[in-house]
Amino acid sequence: MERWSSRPGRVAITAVLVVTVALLAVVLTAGCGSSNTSGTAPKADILRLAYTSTVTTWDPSASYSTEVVYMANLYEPLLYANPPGSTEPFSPALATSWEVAKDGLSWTFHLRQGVTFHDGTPFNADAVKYSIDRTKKLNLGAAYLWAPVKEVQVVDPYTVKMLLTYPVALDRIAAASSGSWMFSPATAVKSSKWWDAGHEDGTGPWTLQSYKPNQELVFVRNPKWWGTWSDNQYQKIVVEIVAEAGTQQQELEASQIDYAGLVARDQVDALAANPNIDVVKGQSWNSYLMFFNTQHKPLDNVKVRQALSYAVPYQDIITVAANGLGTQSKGPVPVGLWPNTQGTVTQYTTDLTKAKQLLSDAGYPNGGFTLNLTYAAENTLENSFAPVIKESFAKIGVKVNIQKLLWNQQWAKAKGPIAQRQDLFVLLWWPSLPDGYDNLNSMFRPETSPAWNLAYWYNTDFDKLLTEAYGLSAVPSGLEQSQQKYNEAQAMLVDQAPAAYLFDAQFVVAKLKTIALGTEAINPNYPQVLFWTKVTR
Amino acid sequence: MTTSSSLSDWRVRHQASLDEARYNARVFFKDKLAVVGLVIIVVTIAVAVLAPHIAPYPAQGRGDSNLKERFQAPSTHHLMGTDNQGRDILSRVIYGARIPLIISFTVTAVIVIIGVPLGGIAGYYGGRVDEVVMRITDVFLAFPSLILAITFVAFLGPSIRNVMIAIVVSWWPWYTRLVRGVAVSLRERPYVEAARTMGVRNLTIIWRHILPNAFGPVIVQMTLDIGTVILAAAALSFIGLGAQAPTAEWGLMISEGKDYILQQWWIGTFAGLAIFILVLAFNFVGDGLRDVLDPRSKR
Amino acid sequence: MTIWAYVVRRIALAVLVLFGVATITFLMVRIVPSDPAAVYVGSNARPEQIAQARRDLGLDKPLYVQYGIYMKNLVKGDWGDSLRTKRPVLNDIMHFLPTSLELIITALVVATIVGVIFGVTTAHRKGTWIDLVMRVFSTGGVSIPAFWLALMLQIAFFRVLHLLPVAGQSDIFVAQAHPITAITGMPVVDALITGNWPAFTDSARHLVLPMLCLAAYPMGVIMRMTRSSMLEAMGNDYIRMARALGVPPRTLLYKDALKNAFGPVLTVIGLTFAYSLTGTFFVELIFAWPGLGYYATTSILSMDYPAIMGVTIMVAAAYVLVNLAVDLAQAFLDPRIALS
Repeated sequence: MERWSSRPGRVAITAVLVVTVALLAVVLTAGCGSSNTSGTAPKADILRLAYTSTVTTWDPSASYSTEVVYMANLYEPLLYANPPGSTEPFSPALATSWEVAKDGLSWTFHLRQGVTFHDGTPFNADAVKYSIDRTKKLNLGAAYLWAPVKEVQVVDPYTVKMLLTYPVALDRIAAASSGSWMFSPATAVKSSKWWDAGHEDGTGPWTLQSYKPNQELVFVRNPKWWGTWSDNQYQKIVVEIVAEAGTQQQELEASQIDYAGLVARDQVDALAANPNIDVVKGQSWNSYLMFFNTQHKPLDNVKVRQALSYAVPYQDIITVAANGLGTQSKGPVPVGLWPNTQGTVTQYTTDLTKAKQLLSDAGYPNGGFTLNLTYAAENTLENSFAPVIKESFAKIGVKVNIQKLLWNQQWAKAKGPIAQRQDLFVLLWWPSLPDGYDNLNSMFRPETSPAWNLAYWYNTDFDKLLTEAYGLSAVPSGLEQSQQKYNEAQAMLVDQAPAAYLFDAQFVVAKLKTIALGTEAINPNYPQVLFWTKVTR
Repeated sequence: MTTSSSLSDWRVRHQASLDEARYNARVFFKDKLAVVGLVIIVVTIAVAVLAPHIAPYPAQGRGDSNLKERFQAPSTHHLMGTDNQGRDILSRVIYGARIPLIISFTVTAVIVIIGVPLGGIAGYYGGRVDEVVMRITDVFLAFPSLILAITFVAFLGPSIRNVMIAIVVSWWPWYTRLVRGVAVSLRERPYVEAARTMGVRNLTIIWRHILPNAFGPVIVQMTLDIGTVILAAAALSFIGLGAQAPTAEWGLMISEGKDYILQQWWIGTFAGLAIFILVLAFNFVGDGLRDVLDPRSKR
Repeated sequence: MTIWAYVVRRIALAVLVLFGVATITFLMVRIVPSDPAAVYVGSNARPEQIAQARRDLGLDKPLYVQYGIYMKNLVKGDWGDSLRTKRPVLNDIMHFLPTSLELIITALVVATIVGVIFGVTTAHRKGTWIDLVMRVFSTGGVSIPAFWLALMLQIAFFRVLHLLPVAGQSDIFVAQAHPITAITGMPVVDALITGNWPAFTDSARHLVLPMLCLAAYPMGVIMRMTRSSMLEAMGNDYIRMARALGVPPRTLLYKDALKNAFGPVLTVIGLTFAYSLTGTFFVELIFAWPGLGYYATTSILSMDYPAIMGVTIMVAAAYVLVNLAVDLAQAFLDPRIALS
């Protein structure tokens, strides 16, 4: 006793060490044995996904942000837009067939029968009218897409007729990636708080089982879904929110997840070399542009804008930002998306001699002016290519001050007092519906107060051309003539250069070889979305 | 000859202080770690100043890309490899020494200018003045400095200047508290009382008699805080709120390297090592100085 | 001044400080150039919708009225709704706080154990090479950038040694097969008290790396503090006296000197607790740990001002309360301090 009590320190140290070593041993070795866990849900039934997308709202009328990746699996639109290269542009979803009147002013949709919402309410014409009316009334997010719709008429329980104020291609709107969802009329009594607590009520193949903001979402099969389930589809989807590409990659390589939604472009080769991993790349409607502020000197001079368009290092940008996984843009509509000019309009190349020549024609023989460039801090690609633009412009004597701002700040500055606005605005754009009209209309039409036309470029000729082209595209017979008008309009955008069209980016995701992605699991018409029903074992 | 005689005059008059300084220096240089730290700091400053002359690729150190040599592993060509824009990491680590040094010296200087006089005034006057000043410092001390800094920078826009302002705002109270303690202990000393009865102005007393006595603790605290400021500034750059590309800054370099940390480990690793070593050096020197200047202080 | 007068005064001051923090937080987010209403309605909102949101959020009222409402609601426990998650801020905080606390508390326990043991050892062997090595170690703990240490730990324990998971709080398969019943909100603790062993080992494994990362700084501070307090205590007259009287050195070291060093070490643990609350920010970010730090960073980056205010006040309150507790504990253990 005496001996021990005189050495309490040593006893304490020994005890602590023993306990620590024991704990460490348990914790470190447990990993090797943890694979034999037995439980209620067999592992093979669970698909594990790593996403970066947080939920900004669960309200299907208001949703217009990162949460669309979940919404697209919970809800369904009337039609789905097929990926480019398909024989038919659209597939039936909640509508089985549809037709447009000759004048293009009314569309009739025949609805799928025997469909119910997740709460058991039957899906019918009233539900369609309710969904569209509510979205239009709230007027948030992508509601603007429905603006041409004057009235939704219930013809019979499974037929709706939509009357338009002017002819538009309503099929594209009905298949939009946001704002096109059908949801249960039973939710009419619910407040926005109810939605945002983590509720949904769609017809889709998946239902939300649990939602931990910023952390984890669990979805299970909707047993009453109208589609057919097969054995090799998953029972349960677990989404982990992981903000860092590096972490997602490491978890994938350790087989802790099946699919990584965010892959650093530079890591594609390293990942592809891993025998357990597939890197999936493909077309997307994401494109990067840089607006010139046409209200600031000297960018009000078209020759200066053209000079700078020649000074943009297109290939270097694609190398450094996307590791080559992209192509130089052909105008503001990505290649493959209607109504891209399909090579009929000449584009700028990187040509510093021409750039210098144009600058001196404009009265700036050695450049000698300074421009402020803003980009969104959240975008890692912009983060890596902004300095490359600065470097290239320096070679023609144009100094660039780079300002990295949080997206909200970058956008607020662009909409602020004219004198304080940026000179160059780097933007990642994707259309809200499978129609490049959205690009042209949103970014280059006159606006009463700036929202997306951040070149502040207003041209009545362009405006007129665009209206004509869009009207012509409403009915299939007008498509050819429409394309011509669109080509003219886009040639004007290239010549007048309100923006430099940097590059069309490819999407890149990575997955374990143990899961298979069906052909329509990823569809450029639904940006960032993975359709979970198309993922199989 | 007059100069030398006036010099020796000066020596005689200041014999005591000179002896003390010599003794202090001996104590300081006996501490091996402090000496190592001092050497590291001197070398870092020299490297930062001479960066254009010693960096193997000065243009890349300043930010120019070199897309033909992306992701090169460390080799004799590029001792620390290259990053995703093909820039030589060694050159960027060398150029990267500039910002932390500038930020930390400026910030600590400003903090001292704000915090020290306030502390002197609070401690010397006591009473209501003391109460008010100390309650304000209590509030700022309770305020989570990192949240304050991040919020501040997020709202005002990311830049090095805003990072410096944010750190100053959240840091000055420590010095007020430190100096106040010294001032309180000196307030009732006979020579201070004597000065007061002789009609010397209060501010003069604070300046002449109180603040010089706080010199030791303040210098020690500054040295230790320089390291902390370097860490805070690097952390803000790491989450993208500080230095901006293509500037070479260590925190930003780690952030640029974090996506590649498993394959191209060198992009982020060396910059982090540089921060670690420099901060370590300031802390060693701070410890050494404390033993000399502020032997009673704990911590 | 009696000890009770001291207690009352300290509590009154704590309340005053929290009031000040709340006021500054309010002013800070209101004077900055950002429009909360625009954040609230999201992208593509038209001016009239923003104006409506401004009315809904009470932002059209004069500043002093807003301040009054804000303070009243704060006291009532209505901390507003997050602009981003659209849920009550206090709910969000209460959801994320326990996971952060689990990280911080385990880190502080480890830091204290290691720091005190090493601190005592080095004080005991002052001037030897062990002391030198330990000093480098403790100074290293306070000098290492946490976000860099996190990356290095991931390389070492995940990539090279394959010992521990790289990030997250649990393995998906384990979490689905053995769901943890939430009691305290801390997964390791909940798994332990419900006897859910697979979930316990899994959560504990996920905890190790972020915990080590977070423990580095307090470990260094506690170790340095212990060393210098011990040295000071060993220089005390009564310890010298005891030594002269032949009390065994070990007893002296561990019993008497350590008892004397207890006060300052306790203070420093209180201070580092507050530091760790914000120190978790970077650690949580890198390890994808769903805690308060992660919530705070994402809120700040999306200008979610009710969430920013909520987190600020919560962290400040924790700081004030922990310091209050430490001071009061000391006052009761050693009334001389309180009364001086």
